[in-house]
Amino acid sequence: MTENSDRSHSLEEIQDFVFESLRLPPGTEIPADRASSFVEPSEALTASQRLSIYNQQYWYRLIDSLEEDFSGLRFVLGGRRFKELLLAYLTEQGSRSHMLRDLGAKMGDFVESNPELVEPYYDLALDMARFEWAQMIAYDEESLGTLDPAGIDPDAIGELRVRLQPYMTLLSLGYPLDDFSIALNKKRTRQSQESALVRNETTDDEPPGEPPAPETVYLAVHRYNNKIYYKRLEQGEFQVLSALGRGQALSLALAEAESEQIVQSWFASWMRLGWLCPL
Amino acid sequence: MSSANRFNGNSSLGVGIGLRVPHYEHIFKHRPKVDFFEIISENFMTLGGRPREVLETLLEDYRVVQHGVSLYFGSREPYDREYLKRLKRLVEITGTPYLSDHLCWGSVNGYQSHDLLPLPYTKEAVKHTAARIKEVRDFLELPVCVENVSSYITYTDSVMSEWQFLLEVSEAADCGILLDVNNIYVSSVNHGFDARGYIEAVPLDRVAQVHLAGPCDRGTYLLDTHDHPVPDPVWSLYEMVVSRLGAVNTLLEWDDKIPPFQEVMAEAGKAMTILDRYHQEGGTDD
Repeated sequence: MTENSDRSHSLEEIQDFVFESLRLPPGTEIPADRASSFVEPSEALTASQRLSIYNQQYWYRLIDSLEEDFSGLRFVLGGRRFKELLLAYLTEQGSRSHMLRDLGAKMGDFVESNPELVEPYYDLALDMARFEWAQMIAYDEESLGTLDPAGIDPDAIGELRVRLQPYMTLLSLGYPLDDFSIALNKKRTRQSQESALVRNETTDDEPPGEPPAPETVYLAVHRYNNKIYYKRLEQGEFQVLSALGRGQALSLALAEAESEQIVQSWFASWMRLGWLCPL
Repeated sequence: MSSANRFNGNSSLGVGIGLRVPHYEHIFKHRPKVDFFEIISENFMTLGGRPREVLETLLEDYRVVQHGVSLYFGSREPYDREYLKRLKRLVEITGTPYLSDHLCWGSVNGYQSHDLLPLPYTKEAVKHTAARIKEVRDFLELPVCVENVSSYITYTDSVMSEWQFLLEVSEAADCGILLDVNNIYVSSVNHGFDARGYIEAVPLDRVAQVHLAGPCDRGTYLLDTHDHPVPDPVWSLYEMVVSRLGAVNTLLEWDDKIPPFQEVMAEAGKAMTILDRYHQEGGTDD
Protein backbone atom coordinates (compact mmCIF):
# COMPACT_ATOMS: atom_id res chain seq x y z
CA MET A 1 0.00 0.00 0.00
CA THR A 2 1.37 3.39 -0.94
CA GLU A 3 1.21 6.33 1.40
CA ASN A 4 -1.78 7.90 -0.37
CA SER A 5 -3.62 4.89 -1.71
CA ASP A 6 -6.28 4.78 1.02
CA ARG A 7 -7.62 8.34 0.75
CA SER A 8 -8.45 11.18 -1.53
CA HIS A 9 -7.68 14.08 0.81
CA SER A 10 -4.40 14.62 2.60
CA LEU A 11 -4.30 15.39 6.32
CA GLU A 12 -3.38 18.95 5.40
CA GLU A 13 -6.35 19.33 3.05
CA ILE A 14 -8.75 17.98 5.67
CA GLN A 15 -7.45 20.24 8.41
CA ASP A 16 -7.46 23.31 6.17
CA PHE A 17 -11.08 22.68 5.20
CA VAL A 18 -12.34 22.01 8.73
CA PHE A 19 -10.48 25.01 10.15
CA GLU A 20 -11.87 27.25 7.43
CA SER A 21 -15.37 25.95 8.23
CA LEU A 22 -15.16 26.59 11.93
CA ARG A 23 -13.93 30.15 11.37
CA LEU A 24 -16.82 31.05 9.05
CA PRO A 25 -19.02 33.77 10.57
CA PRO A 26 -21.50 32.30 13.07
CA GLY A 27 -24.63 31.01 11.39
CA THR A 28 -23.05 30.71 7.93
CA GLU A 29 -24.31 27.66 6.08
CA ILE A 30 -21.39 25.45 5.13
CA PRO A 31 -21.71 24.46 1.43
CA ALA A 32 -23.21 20.99 1.32
CA ASP A 33 -21.12 19.64 -1.54
CA ARG A 34 -17.84 20.70 0.06
CA ALA A 35 -18.91 19.42 3.48
CA SER A 36 -20.00 16.03 2.21
CA SER A 37 -16.73 15.64 0.35
CA PHE A 38 -14.89 15.61 3.69
CA VAL A 39 -17.47 14.65 6.31
CA GLU A 40 -19.97 11.81 6.53
CA PRO A 41 -23.59 12.47 7.49
CA SER A 42 -25.07 10.84 10.58
CA GLU A 43 -28.55 9.35 10.85
CA ALA A 44 -29.87 12.66 12.20
CA LEU A 45 -27.58 15.32 10.70
CA THR A 46 -26.15 16.25 7.31
CA ALA A 47 -22.40 16.72 6.89
CA SER A 48 -22.89 20.51 6.96
CA GLN A 49 -24.95 20.36 10.14
CA ARG A 50 -22.33 18.23 11.84
CA LEU A 51 -19.56 20.65 10.87
CA SER A 52 -21.69 23.53 12.12
CA ILE A 53 -21.46 22.12 15.65
CA TYR A 54 -17.75 22.91 15.60
CA ASN A 55 -18.39 26.33 14.06
CA GLN A 56 -20.84 27.18 16.86
CA GLN A 57 -18.51 25.91 19.55
CA TYR A 58 -15.56 27.88 18.15
CA TRP A 59 -17.39 31.20 18.34
CA TYR A 60 -19.09 30.41 21.62
CA ARG A 61 -15.82 29.53 23.33
CA LEU A 62 -13.84 32.52 22.08
CA ILE A 63 -16.58 35.09 22.61
CA ASP A 64 -17.27 33.74 26.09
CA SER A 65 -13.60 34.10 26.97
CA LEU A 66 -13.41 37.71 25.75
CA GLU A 67 -16.68 38.63 27.47
CA GLU A 68 -15.18 37.50 30.73
CA ASP A 69 -11.97 39.47 30.20
CA PHE A 70 -13.52 42.71 28.91
CA SER A 71 -16.65 43.21 30.98
CA GLY A 72 -15.86 46.92 31.36
CA LEU A 73 -15.66 47.36 27.60
CA ARG A 74 -19.04 45.70 27.33
CA PHE A 75 -20.38 48.18 29.85
CA VAL A 76 -19.06 51.05 27.75
CA LEU A 77 -20.48 49.82 24.42
CA GLY A 78 -23.58 47.88 25.41
CA GLY A 79 -24.12 44.22 24.60
CA ARG A 80 -24.94 44.46 20.89
CA ARG A 81 -22.01 46.65 19.83
CA PHE A 82 -19.65 44.81 22.12
CA LYS A 83 -20.50 41.54 20.40
CA GLU A 84 -20.00 43.17 16.98
CA LEU A 85 -16.58 44.36 18.15
CA LEU A 86 -15.64 40.87 19.36
CA LEU A 87 -16.73 39.27 16.08
CA ALA A 88 -14.68 41.79 14.10
CA TYR A 89 -11.69 41.32 16.40
CA LEU A 90 -11.78 37.53 16.23
CA THR A 91 -12.32 37.55 12.48
CA GLU A 92 -9.23 39.72 11.95
CA GLN A 93 -6.98 38.44 14.71
CA GLY A 94 -8.02 34.87 15.42
CA SER A 95 -6.11 33.27 18.25
CA ARG A 96 -2.35 32.85 17.98
CA SER A 97 -1.67 31.56 21.48
CA HIS A 98 -2.07 28.16 23.09
CA MET A 99 -3.67 29.87 26.04
CA LEU A 100 -7.14 31.43 25.83
CA ARG A 101 -5.84 33.86 28.43
CA ASP A 102 -3.88 35.61 25.65
CA LEU A 103 -6.86 36.03 23.36
CA GLY A 104 -7.45 39.68 24.20
CA ALA A 105 -3.82 40.79 24.02
CA LYS A 106 -4.38 42.93 20.93
CA MET A 107 -7.78 44.35 21.84
CA GLY A 108 -6.35 47.80 22.63
CA ASP A 109 -4.54 48.01 19.29
CA PHE A 110 -7.62 46.73 17.47
CA VAL A 111 -9.88 49.35 19.03
CA GLU A 112 -7.33 52.03 18.18
CA SER A 113 -7.28 50.93 14.54
CA ASN A 114 -11.05 50.57 14.21
CA PRO A 115 -12.66 53.67 15.74
CA GLU A 116 -15.85 53.19 13.73
CA LEU A 117 -16.63 50.10 15.81
CA VAL A 118 -16.68 52.02 19.09
CA GLU A 119 -17.77 55.58 18.21
CA PRO A 120 -18.90 57.79 19.93
CA TYR A 121 -17.01 56.20 22.82
CA TYR A 122 -13.64 55.89 21.11
CA ASP A 123 -11.42 57.43 23.82
CA LEU A 124 -13.19 55.67 26.65
CA ALA A 125 -13.32 52.30 24.85
CA LEU A 126 -9.62 52.48 24.00
CA ASP A 127 -8.71 53.32 27.59
CA MET A 128 -10.94 50.54 28.90
CA ALA A 129 -9.50 47.91 26.55
CA ARG A 130 -5.96 48.75 27.66
CA PHE A 131 -6.94 48.99 31.32
CA GLU A 132 -8.63 45.57 31.28
CA TRP A 133 -5.75 43.89 29.48
CA ALA A 134 -3.38 45.39 32.06
CA GLN A 135 -5.39 43.64 34.76
CA MET A 136 -4.93 40.33 32.99
CA ILE A 137 -1.18 40.90 32.98
CA ALA A 138 -1.20 41.88 36.64
CA TYR A 139 -3.17 38.77 37.54
CA ASP A 140 -0.78 36.09 36.42
CA GLU A 141 2.30 37.34 34.59
CA GLU A 142 5.56 36.02 35.94
CA SER A 143 7.40 38.05 38.57
CA LEU A 144 11.18 38.55 38.55
CA GLY A 145 13.64 38.89 41.40
CA THR A 146 13.76 42.44 42.67
CA LEU A 147 16.69 44.84 42.59
CA ASP A 148 18.93 44.46 45.63
CA PRO A 149 19.90 47.92 46.93
CA ALA A 150 23.06 46.47 48.47
CA GLY A 151 24.23 45.48 45.02
CA ILE A 152 24.03 49.00 43.59
CA ASP A 153 27.38 50.76 43.11
CA PRO A 154 26.85 54.30 44.53
CA ASP A 155 29.52 55.70 42.20
CA ALA A 156 27.75 54.37 39.11
CA ILE A 157 24.15 54.84 40.12
CA GLY A 158 23.53 57.24 37.27
CA GLU A 159 24.34 54.47 34.81
CA LEU A 160 22.03 51.99 36.50
CA ARG A 161 19.53 50.41 34.15
CA VAL A 162 16.64 48.35 35.42
CA ARG A 163 13.59 46.63 34.08
CA LEU A 164 10.11 46.83 35.48
CA GLN A 165 8.22 43.79 36.72
CA PRO A 166 6.59 42.01 33.77
CA TYR A 167 3.27 42.03 35.61
CA MET A 168 3.00 45.83 35.78
CA THR A 169 1.57 48.12 33.12
CA LEU A 170 1.86 51.90 33.03
CA LEU A 171 -1.15 53.66 31.61
CA SER A 172 -1.91 57.28 30.76
CA LEU A 173 -5.70 57.44 30.61
CA GLY A 174 -8.24 60.09 29.76
CA TYR A 175 -10.74 58.66 32.24
CA PRO A 176 -10.43 57.65 35.91
CA LEU A 177 -11.00 53.99 35.19
CA ASP A 178 -9.54 52.87 38.51
CA ASP A 179 -12.37 54.48 40.49
CA PHE A 180 -14.91 53.61 37.83
CA SER A 181 -13.90 49.95 37.78
CA ILE A 182 -14.05 49.63 41.55
CA ALA A 183 -17.52 51.21 41.61
CA LEU A 184 -18.69 48.96 38.78
CA ASN A 185 -17.46 45.84 40.53
CA LYS A 186 -19.22 46.84 43.74
CA LYS A 187 -22.43 47.35 41.80
CA ARG A 188 -22.07 43.96 40.14
CA THR A 189 -21.41 42.27 43.47
CA ARG A 190 -24.58 43.80 44.89
CA GLN A 191 -26.56 42.70 41.82
CA SER A 192 -25.21 39.18 41.98
CA GLN A 193 -26.14 38.95 45.63
CA GLU A 194 -29.65 40.18 44.91
CA SER A 195 -30.33 38.26 41.72
CA ALA A 196 -29.41 35.02 40.05
CA LEU A 197 -28.98 36.95 36.79
CA VAL A 198 -25.39 37.99 37.36
CA ARG A 199 -24.69 38.90 33.74
CA ASN A 200 -27.84 40.88 33.05
CA GLU A 201 -26.10 43.59 31.10
CA THR A 202 -24.83 41.19 28.43
CA THR A 203 -28.13 41.37 26.62
CA ASP A 204 -28.48 45.14 26.76
CA ASP A 205 -28.32 46.74 23.34
CA GLU A 206 -27.32 50.12 24.73
CA PRO A 207 -24.71 50.99 27.35
CA PRO A 208 -26.42 50.25 30.67
CA GLY A 209 -25.01 53.20 32.60
CA GLU A 210 -23.41 56.63 32.46
CA PRO A 211 -19.76 56.71 31.40
CA PRO A 212 -17.32 58.40 33.77
CA ALA A 213 -16.42 62.06 33.27
CA PRO A 214 -13.09 62.65 31.51
CA GLU A 215 -10.06 63.18 33.75
CA THR A 216 -6.42 62.52 32.97
CA VAL A 217 -4.92 59.92 35.29
CA TYR A 218 -1.61 58.08 35.33
CA LEU A 219 -1.79 54.52 36.63
CA ALA A 220 0.43 51.60 37.42
CA VAL A 221 -1.69 48.45 37.22
CA HIS A 222 0.23 45.90 39.26
CA ARG A 223 -0.13 43.27 41.94
CA TYR A 224 0.96 43.01 45.53
CA ASN A 225 0.61 39.84 47.57
CA ASN A 226 -1.16 38.40 44.53
CA LYS A 227 -3.92 40.97 44.56
CA ILE A 228 -4.42 43.44 41.70
CA TYR A 229 -4.00 47.13 42.47
CA TYR A 230 -4.31 50.35 40.50
CA LYS A 231 -1.80 52.85 41.86
CA ARG A 232 -2.15 56.46 40.79
CA LEU A 233 1.11 58.11 39.81
CA GLU A 234 2.13 61.71 39.48
CA GLN A 235 2.82 62.74 35.89
CA GLY A 236 6.56 63.04 36.52
CA GLU A 237 6.68 59.70 38.27
CA PHE A 238 4.87 58.13 35.35
CA GLN A 239 7.36 59.61 32.89
CA VAL A 240 10.38 58.45 34.86
CA LEU A 241 9.02 54.93 35.29
CA SER A 242 8.16 54.77 31.60
CA ALA A 243 11.70 55.84 30.71
CA LEU A 244 13.17 53.20 33.01
CA GLY A 245 10.87 50.63 31.46
CA ARG A 246 12.23 51.56 28.03
CA GLY A 247 15.73 50.75 29.29
CA GLN A 248 17.04 54.27 29.84
CA ALA A 249 19.78 54.79 32.40
CA LEU A 250 18.64 56.14 35.74
CA SER A 251 20.35 59.52 35.23
CA LEU A 252 18.55 60.07 31.91
CA ALA A 253 15.27 58.88 33.29
CA LEU A 254 15.49 61.23 36.24
CA ALA A 255 16.57 64.26 34.23
CA GLU A 256 13.05 65.64 34.06
CA ALA A 257 12.29 65.11 37.74
CA GLU A 258 11.60 68.22 39.77
CA SER A 259 13.79 67.56 42.79
CA GLU A 260 16.08 64.96 44.26
CA GLN A 261 13.85 64.66 47.31
CA ILE A 262 10.84 63.70 45.21
CA VAL A 263 12.90 61.20 43.28
CA GLN A 264 14.11 59.56 46.49
CA SER A 265 10.55 59.27 47.69
CA TRP A 266 9.43 57.67 44.42
CA PHE A 267 12.38 55.33 44.36
CA ALA A 268 11.70 54.17 47.91
CA SER A 269 8.08 53.47 47.00
CA TRP A 270 9.02 51.50 43.87
CA MET A 271 11.55 49.44 45.81
CA ARG A 272 9.04 48.73 48.57
CA LEU A 273 6.51 47.52 45.98
CA GLY A 274 9.16 45.39 44.28
CA TRP A 275 8.69 47.04 40.90
CA LEU A 276 12.38 47.35 39.91
CA CYS A 277 14.35 44.35 38.72
CA PRO A 278 17.94 43.99 37.56
CA LEU A 279 18.46 43.85 33.81
CA MET B 1 -4.95 -5.51 41.17
CA SER B 2 -3.46 -2.10 40.40
CA SER B 3 -3.20 -0.50 36.99
CA ALA B 4 0.08 1.23 37.79
CA ASN B 5 2.22 0.88 34.69
CA ARG B 6 5.07 2.53 32.83
CA PHE B 7 2.63 4.87 31.10
CA ASN B 8 1.50 6.48 34.33
CA GLY B 9 4.90 6.48 36.00
CA ASN B 10 3.87 3.39 37.98
CA SER B 11 1.52 5.56 39.98
CA SER B 12 -1.57 4.27 41.71
CA LEU B 13 -3.47 7.43 42.50
CA GLY B 14 -7.07 6.48 43.28
CA VAL B 15 -9.94 8.80 42.38
CA GLY B 16 -9.26 12.48 41.76
CA ILE B 17 -11.16 15.50 40.60
CA GLY B 18 -10.36 18.29 38.18
CA LEU B 19 -9.22 21.47 39.94
CA ARG B 20 -11.64 24.31 39.16
CA VAL B 21 -11.70 27.94 40.31
CA PRO B 22 -15.09 27.87 42.14
CA HIS B 23 -13.66 25.25 44.51
CA TYR B 24 -10.45 27.04 45.49
CA GLU B 25 -11.92 28.62 48.59
CA HIS B 26 -13.36 25.37 49.90
CA ILE B 27 -10.22 23.37 49.18
CA PHE B 28 -7.82 25.78 50.84
CA LYS B 29 -10.09 26.38 53.81
CA HIS B 30 -11.05 22.78 54.55
CA ARG B 31 -8.24 20.75 52.95
CA PRO B 32 -10.62 17.89 52.08
CA LYS B 33 -9.31 14.41 51.51
CA VAL B 34 -8.85 13.99 47.77
CA ASP B 35 -6.64 11.32 46.22
CA PHE B 36 -5.29 13.69 43.59
CA PHE B 37 -6.13 16.79 41.59
CA GLU B 38 -5.79 17.10 37.86
CA ILE B 39 -4.89 20.58 36.60
CA ILE B 40 -5.25 21.95 33.09
CA SER B 41 -1.64 22.77 32.21
CA GLU B 42 -2.51 25.83 30.14
CA ASN B 43 -4.20 27.48 33.13
CA PHE B 44 -0.91 27.58 35.01
CA MET B 45 1.67 28.23 32.33
CA THR B 46 2.11 31.95 32.96
CA LEU B 47 3.90 30.93 36.17
CA GLY B 48 3.04 34.01 38.17
CA GLY B 49 0.53 35.65 40.44
CA ARG B 50 -2.55 34.01 41.80
CA PRO B 51 -2.38 30.83 39.64
CA ARG B 52 1.18 30.20 40.82
CA GLU B 53 0.15 30.77 44.43
CA VAL B 54 -2.78 28.36 44.02
CA LEU B 55 -0.53 25.72 42.54
CA GLU B 56 2.11 26.01 45.25
CA THR B 57 -0.52 25.86 47.98
CA LEU B 58 -2.13 22.84 46.35
CA LEU B 59 1.17 21.01 46.09
CA GLU B 60 1.70 21.33 49.83
CA ASP B 61 -1.08 18.81 50.48
CA TYR B 62 -2.03 17.04 47.26
CA ARG B 63 -0.69 15.05 44.37
CA VAL B 64 -1.16 16.86 41.10
CA VAL B 65 -1.42 15.37 37.64
CA GLN B 66 -1.16 17.54 34.53
CA HIS B 67 -3.66 17.36 31.71
CA GLY B 68 -3.35 19.59 28.67
CA VAL B 69 -5.63 20.91 25.95
CA SER B 70 -3.25 22.50 23.46
CA LEU B 71 -0.54 20.08 22.40
CA TYR B 72 -2.60 19.10 19.38
CA PHE B 73 -0.63 15.97 18.57
CA GLY B 74 -2.36 15.70 15.20
CA SER B 75 -1.78 19.25 13.96
CA ARG B 76 0.62 19.64 11.08
CA GLU B 77 2.70 22.63 12.12
CA PRO B 78 5.89 22.38 14.18
CA TYR B 79 5.60 22.74 17.92
CA ASP B 80 6.04 26.17 19.46
CA ARG B 81 9.27 25.64 21.38
CA GLU B 82 8.47 28.38 23.87
CA TYR B 83 5.21 26.63 24.71
CA LEU B 84 7.03 23.33 25.23
CA LYS B 85 9.63 25.00 27.44
CA ARG B 86 6.93 26.51 29.61
CA LEU B 87 5.21 23.15 29.80
CA LYS B 88 8.45 21.54 30.91
CA ARG B 89 8.95 24.16 33.60
CA LEU B 90 5.47 23.43 34.89
CA VAL B 91 6.15 19.70 34.86
CA GLU B 92 9.21 20.31 37.03
CA ILE B 93 7.11 22.30 39.48
CA THR B 94 4.20 19.88 39.77
CA GLY B 95 6.18 16.65 39.68
CA THR B 96 3.39 15.08 37.68
CA PRO B 97 4.12 11.38 37.11
CA TYR B 98 2.82 11.59 33.54
CA LEU B 99 1.28 14.12 31.20
CA SER B 100 -1.85 13.68 29.16
CA ASP B 101 -3.38 15.55 26.26
CA HIS B 102 -5.84 14.72 23.52
CA LEU B 103 -5.62 12.57 20.43
CA CYS B 104 -6.78 15.38 18.19
CA TRP B 105 -5.66 18.39 16.22
CA GLY B 106 -6.62 22.03 16.70
CA SER B 107 -4.42 24.53 14.90
CA VAL B 108 -3.51 25.58 11.37
CA ASN B 109 -0.68 27.95 10.43
CA GLY B 110 -0.30 29.14 14.01
CA TYR B 111 -3.99 29.89 14.47
CA GLN B 112 -5.61 28.06 17.37
CA SER B 113 -9.13 26.67 17.46
CA HIS B 114 -9.12 26.06 21.23
CA ASP B 115 -11.15 22.98 20.39
CA LEU B 116 -10.34 19.27 20.30
CA LEU B 117 -10.89 18.41 16.65
CA PRO B 118 -11.06 14.76 15.63
CA LEU B 119 -8.49 13.34 13.27
CA PRO B 120 -9.25 11.35 10.15
CA TYR B 121 -8.46 7.72 10.87
CA THR B 122 -5.87 7.23 8.16
CA LYS B 123 -2.40 5.72 7.99
CA GLU B 124 -0.97 9.16 7.30
CA ALA B 125 -2.56 10.51 10.48
CA VAL B 126 -1.27 7.56 12.53
CA LYS B 127 2.29 8.10 11.38
CA HIS B 128 2.20 11.86 11.73
CA THR B 129 0.54 11.90 15.15
CA ALA B 130 2.72 9.18 16.63
CA ALA B 131 5.85 11.07 15.61
CA ARG B 132 4.64 14.20 17.33
CA ILE B 133 3.70 12.34 20.52
CA LYS B 134 7.22 10.92 20.65
CA GLU B 135 8.67 14.38 20.11
CA VAL B 136 6.81 15.73 23.15
CA ARG B 137 7.68 12.74 25.30
CA ASP B 138 11.36 13.04 24.45
CA PHE B 139 11.36 16.77 25.12
CA LEU B 140 9.54 16.52 28.43
CA GLU B 141 11.33 13.31 29.47
CA LEU B 142 8.03 12.10 30.89
CA PRO B 143 5.44 9.43 30.01
CA VAL B 144 2.82 10.91 27.72
CA CYS B 145 -0.76 9.65 27.41
CA VAL B 146 -3.31 10.43 24.72
CA GLU B 147 -6.99 10.86 25.45
CA ASN B 148 -9.74 9.81 23.04
CA VAL B 149 -11.97 12.82 22.29
CA SER B 150 -15.70 13.26 21.85
CA SER B 151 -16.56 13.98 18.26
CA TYR B 152 -19.44 15.19 16.14
CA ILE B 153 -18.05 14.36 12.70
CA THR B 154 -16.46 11.41 10.97
CA TYR B 155 -14.41 11.81 7.80
CA THR B 156 -15.00 10.28 4.40
CA ASP B 157 -11.26 9.57 4.26
CA SER B 158 -11.12 7.39 7.38
CA VAL B 159 -10.06 3.83 6.69
CA MET B 160 -10.31 2.41 10.19
CA SER B 161 -12.43 2.70 13.34
CA GLU B 162 -11.63 5.17 16.11
CA TRP B 163 -10.52 2.40 18.45
CA GLN B 164 -8.26 0.91 15.79
CA PHE B 165 -6.77 4.38 15.27
CA LEU B 166 -6.21 4.75 19.03
CA LEU B 167 -4.54 1.35 19.10
CA GLU B 168 -2.27 2.06 16.13
CA VAL B 169 -1.22 5.51 17.33
CA SER B 170 -0.50 4.36 20.88
CA GLU B 171 1.56 1.43 19.61
CA ALA B 172 3.45 3.48 17.02
CA ALA B 173 4.25 6.16 19.63
CA ASP B 174 4.60 3.61 22.43
CA CYS B 175 2.54 5.93 24.62
CA GLY B 176 -0.15 5.53 27.23
CA ILE B 177 -3.88 6.05 26.92
CA LEU B 178 -6.11 8.26 28.98
CA LEU B 179 -9.38 6.48 28.39
CA ASP B 180 -12.26 8.93 28.59
CA VAL B 181 -15.28 6.71 29.10
CA ASN B 182 -17.68 9.63 28.71
CA ASN B 183 -16.13 10.50 25.36
CA ILE B 184 -16.58 6.95 24.16
CA TYR B 185 -20.24 7.13 25.16
CA VAL B 186 -20.77 10.53 23.49
CA SER B 187 -19.13 9.45 20.24
CA SER B 188 -20.93 6.09 20.26
CA VAL B 189 -24.28 7.92 20.35
CA ASN B 190 -23.21 10.52 17.76
CA HIS B 191 -21.77 7.97 15.34
CA GLY B 192 -23.84 4.90 16.14
CA PHE B 193 -21.14 2.46 17.21
CA ASP B 194 -21.02 -0.03 20.09
CA ALA B 195 -19.25 1.56 23.06
CA ARG B 196 -18.57 -1.79 24.73
CA GLY B 197 -16.95 -3.06 21.56
CA TYR B 198 -14.69 0.01 21.62
CA ILE B 199 -13.54 -0.79 25.17
CA GLU B 200 -12.95 -4.43 24.27
CA ALA B 201 -10.59 -3.30 21.51
CA VAL B 202 -8.56 -0.88 23.64
CA PRO B 203 -5.13 -2.18 24.67
CA LEU B 204 -5.81 -2.02 28.41
CA ASP B 205 -2.17 -2.50 29.33
CA ARG B 206 -1.59 1.02 27.98
CA VAL B 207 -4.37 2.68 29.97
CA ALA B 208 -2.86 5.07 32.50
CA GLN B 209 -5.98 6.86 33.65
CA VAL B 210 -9.72 7.10 33.10
CA HIS B 211 -11.87 10.23 32.76
CA LEU B 212 -15.52 10.44 33.78
CA ALA B 213 -17.94 13.29 33.04
CA GLY B 214 -21.49 14.09 32.06
CA PRO B 215 -22.53 15.30 28.58
CA CYS B 216 -25.53 17.33 27.44
CA ASP B 217 -28.29 15.97 25.19
CA ARG B 218 -28.87 18.33 22.25
CA GLY B 219 -31.62 16.21 20.72
CA THR B 220 -29.88 15.10 17.54
CA TYR B 221 -26.50 14.59 19.22
CA LEU B 222 -24.71 14.55 22.57
CA LEU B 223 -22.43 17.49 23.37
CA ASP B 224 -19.43 16.92 25.63
CA THR B 225 -20.12 19.74 28.07
CA HIS B 226 -18.97 18.29 31.41
CA ASP B 227 -21.88 20.09 33.04
CA HIS B 228 -23.94 17.17 34.32
CA PRO B 229 -23.51 14.25 36.69
CA VAL B 230 -22.10 11.11 35.09
CA PRO B 231 -25.00 9.33 33.35
CA ASP B 232 -25.80 5.66 33.94
CA PRO B 233 -24.47 4.40 30.58
CA VAL B 234 -21.08 5.95 31.41
CA TRP B 235 -21.04 4.33 34.85
CA SER B 236 -21.82 1.03 33.18
CA LEU B 237 -18.88 1.44 30.79
CA TYR B 238 -16.66 2.46 33.69
CA GLU B 239 -17.57 -0.72 35.55
CA MET B 240 -16.61 -2.66 32.44
CA VAL B 241 -13.20 -0.97 32.38
CA VAL B 242 -12.61 -1.52 36.10
CA SER B 243 -13.63 -5.16 35.89
CA ARG B 244 -10.93 -5.68 33.29
CA LEU B 245 -8.28 -3.32 34.54
CA GLY B 246 -8.59 -3.15 38.30
CA ALA B 247 -7.86 -0.05 40.36
CA VAL B 248 -7.29 2.38 37.53
CA ASN B 249 -6.45 6.03 38.21
CA THR B 250 -9.79 7.78 37.78
CA LEU B 251 -10.64 11.43 37.38
CA LEU B 252 -14.02 13.14 37.50
CA GLU B 253 -14.31 16.25 35.32
CA TRP B 254 -16.93 18.96 35.93
CA ASP B 255 -16.25 22.10 33.91
CA ASP B 256 -19.48 24.04 33.54
CA LYS B 257 -22.45 24.72 35.83
CA ILE B 258 -20.04 23.60 38.50
CA PRO B 259 -21.84 22.53 41.70
CA PRO B 260 -20.45 22.89 45.24
CA PHE B 261 -17.31 20.94 46.00
CA GLN B 262 -19.15 18.41 48.17
CA GLU B 263 -21.45 17.53 45.28
CA VAL B 264 -18.51 16.90 42.95
CA MET B 265 -16.86 14.78 45.63
CA ALA B 266 -20.09 12.80 46.07
CA GLU B 267 -20.03 12.03 42.35
CA ALA B 268 -16.38 11.01 42.57
CA GLY B 269 -17.38 8.83 45.54
CA LYS B 270 -19.47 6.69 43.20
CA ALA B 271 -16.29 5.83 41.32
CA MET B 272 -14.60 4.96 44.61
CA THR B 273 -17.50 2.65 45.45
CA ILE B 274 -17.10 0.84 42.15
CA LEU B 275 -13.34 0.52 42.61
CA ASP B 276 -13.84 -0.77 46.18
CA ARG B 277 -16.48 -3.26 45.08
CA TYR B 278 -14.22 -4.66 42.43
CA HIS B 279 -11.33 -4.77 44.88
CA GLN B 280 -13.44 -6.79 47.35
CA GLU B 281 -14.82 -9.13 44.70
CA GLY B 282 -11.65 -9.58 42.73
CA GLY B 283 -8.97 -9.17 45.35
CA THR B 284 -8.56 -12.91 45.89
CA ASP B 285 -7.36 -13.32 42.34
CA ASP B 286 -4.15 -11.40 43.00
